[in-house]
Amino acid sequence: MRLSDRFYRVALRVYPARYRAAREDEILSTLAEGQGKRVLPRAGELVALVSAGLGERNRVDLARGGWWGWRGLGSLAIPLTCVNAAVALAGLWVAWSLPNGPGRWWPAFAALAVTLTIAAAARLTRVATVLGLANLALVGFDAATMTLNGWQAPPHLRLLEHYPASGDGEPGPGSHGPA
Amino acid sequence: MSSRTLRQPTYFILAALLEAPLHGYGIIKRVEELTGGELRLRAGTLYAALDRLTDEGRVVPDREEVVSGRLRRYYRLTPEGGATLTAEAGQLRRAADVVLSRGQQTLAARTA
Repeated sequence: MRLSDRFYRVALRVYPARYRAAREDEILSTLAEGQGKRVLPRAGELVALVSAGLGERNRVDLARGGWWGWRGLGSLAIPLTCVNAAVALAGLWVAWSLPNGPGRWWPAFAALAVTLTIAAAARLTRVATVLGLANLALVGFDAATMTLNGWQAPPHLRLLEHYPASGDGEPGPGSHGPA
Repeated sequence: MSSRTLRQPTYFILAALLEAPLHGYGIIKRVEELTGGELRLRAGTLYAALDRLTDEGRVVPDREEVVSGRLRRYYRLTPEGGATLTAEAGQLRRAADVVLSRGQQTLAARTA
């Protein structure tokens, strides 16, 4: 298989499995004809495949369940993941600016962002949606309690103060949610 | 313009199929020719449009061939697809005429 075919095949994984089973060979041969003697894949073709693949997924999801069904929610997983990755990064930044520094819980943010990204990429849409909604709810709760308590850290983050900021060997709380 | 207005890639895909059925890359090449190289369709865009046109009954799969191990599926314009294309072309002509029928005189007068 040519190198460009490999790349295109990976991009085609964005399409639903049933669609791929019916059309993958046809689309790949069209791509191969357009490829000529080029070795590397065309970036524009990759972008178009991913975008059309996401469109096809959403079309299928919406046709099956509408926006309020599980699959409809699933089609929100990718935008939700982007929002969550941004929130997790913002959380990291806030954590660093706290008097005690990030402490030992900052990997939780990174882990959450990575989990969400993988879940959405693998179209574990329920996992991504539930994690995403839970994270957003937690952020909302934190924001509300911090506003009411004069910018004190919310209860679940105050637990962290028992741990030294840069100690090692002690177990981290492994909690989630930005401050 | 009415809701009948087609998006540009869709218009040229239908136009490419006017003379004969074509396979995916055949459509891409023909569209490129028809637009003087201005529009080069990506495969993702092409197949999304072909799926929609097939659902709407404007295009149908015609036949399949295997050329050097690669699958080619040909697509054919339906009478309905032809009618859509003709209507759209008529609309574009009328829109163009609005400007071209009086544009040169008016422009000459304005720049005089």
